[in-house]
Amino acid sequence: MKALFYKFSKDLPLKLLLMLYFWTLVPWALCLYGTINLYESPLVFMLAGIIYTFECSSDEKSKFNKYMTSFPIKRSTYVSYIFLLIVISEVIMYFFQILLGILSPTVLERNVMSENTPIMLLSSMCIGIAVVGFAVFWNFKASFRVSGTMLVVLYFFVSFVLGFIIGVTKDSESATALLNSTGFRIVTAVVSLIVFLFEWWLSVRVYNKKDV
Amino acid sequence: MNAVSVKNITKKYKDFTLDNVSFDLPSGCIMGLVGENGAGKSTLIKIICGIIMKKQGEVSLFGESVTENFSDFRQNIGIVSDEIAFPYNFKVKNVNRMMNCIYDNWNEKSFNDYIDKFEIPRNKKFKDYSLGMKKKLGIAVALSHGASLLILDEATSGLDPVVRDDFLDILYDFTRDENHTVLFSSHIVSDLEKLCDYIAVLHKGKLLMCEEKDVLLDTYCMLRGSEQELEAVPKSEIVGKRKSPYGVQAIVKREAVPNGMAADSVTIEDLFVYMVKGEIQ
Repeated sequence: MKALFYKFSKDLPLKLLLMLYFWTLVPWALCLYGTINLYESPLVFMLAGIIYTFECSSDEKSKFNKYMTSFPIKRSTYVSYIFLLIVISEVIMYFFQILLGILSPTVLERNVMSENTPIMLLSSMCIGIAVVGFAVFWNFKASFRVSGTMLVVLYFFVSFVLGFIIGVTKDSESATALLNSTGFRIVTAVVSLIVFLFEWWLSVRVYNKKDV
Repeated sequence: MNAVSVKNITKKYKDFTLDNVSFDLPSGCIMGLVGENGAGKSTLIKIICGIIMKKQGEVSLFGESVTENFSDFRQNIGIVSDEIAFPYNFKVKNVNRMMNCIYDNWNEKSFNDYIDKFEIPRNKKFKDYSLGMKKKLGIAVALSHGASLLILDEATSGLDPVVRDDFLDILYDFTRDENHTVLFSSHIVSDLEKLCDYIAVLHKGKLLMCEEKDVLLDTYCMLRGSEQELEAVPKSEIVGKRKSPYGVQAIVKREAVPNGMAADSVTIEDLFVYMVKGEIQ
């Protein structure tokens, strides 16, 4: 695990720059020009889990993943590393969202961002981990293009569906109250944690029996 | 004790089957695994290393049957796969630090000595390495953590003859310790012939033979003559033959050579080619 994180830390500055560019500056610019109403869509959060995709180029990643299997690293360790990477990326993303809120051009967006950020973060983490976990397994066997494309399509699909639902429910005062209630946030956090642990457990089991 | 023992290993793919392969590799020996492209050499090596799962059979390393926890055994194995792939922005010092985290017995001094010996540039990034440099880095890693068993899959391909020769010397030194063992697959049969104690030939997923090299060279010989002269040799004793306008060459068992016929010694490469191709027109 230490070795894998050493690798991760080696290009962390580049990753942070990528995250800043793709998940903060680009959405902010889109928001500024009125292309999207950022606060109505969890798209940005969905994309946060994609850090694994940006970790290195597809060619480099698939070759490195394959080569690492000849070292004494347990398969469960490798899966756990990827899961931890996703959690870390979500947390970093949270801080970027705060930055995005500060940069937002309107007071309304700033307020909505600060209210909805935690809940969106938790729910997207749950879905994001499932999707990335799925893509990781495919990546070992199939080419990156297949898994990468699937990943992106799924992300966008889930983002827009969820974005639409949140957008609709925001019209209702009771739905907004529910989304912002502490109880709902706690329930979401617990459910997210359970789903996360289940996905990790399932991934380790599947990967242990998988050819690389 | 056998460093590697493989019993009835079978692995099925849609268009290829590694079929019931068994052999033993005693400690302190070097075994060369020969076979044409797609014969199953890499598949067999990956099964031994636990990188892919076998359908049936048993792998034992250092006398212990390995069913899971291959990663624990890999602390004692140096693996050089056909493709060495570190992160592109890694330099030698980064590889050193990463391996230090992975291997319990990582020897930094030994690693640096190999880096100097192989003349691997320390300030270049991995992405700028040539194929040969990548291979040399992989070999340096495999030799620097006190492994008792080296498993090399096409490790010398991509290396120039001088470095290849240096590498073979290193392997030779490595096996001077009687606890050190090497399993070595290569297309360059001359490398195997120089170095190996045992030769195993794989063909279309089947193990055609696994024998001591000296026994093979003593057992088989090359006969040259006309087709009529070779008819005196029983067909069962002929490994393979090649017909040309000038006559026939055949590899046969030495004991089957008719009186009065001159027999030349064979090389492992000849034996392999004749064995795999049978009758060559």
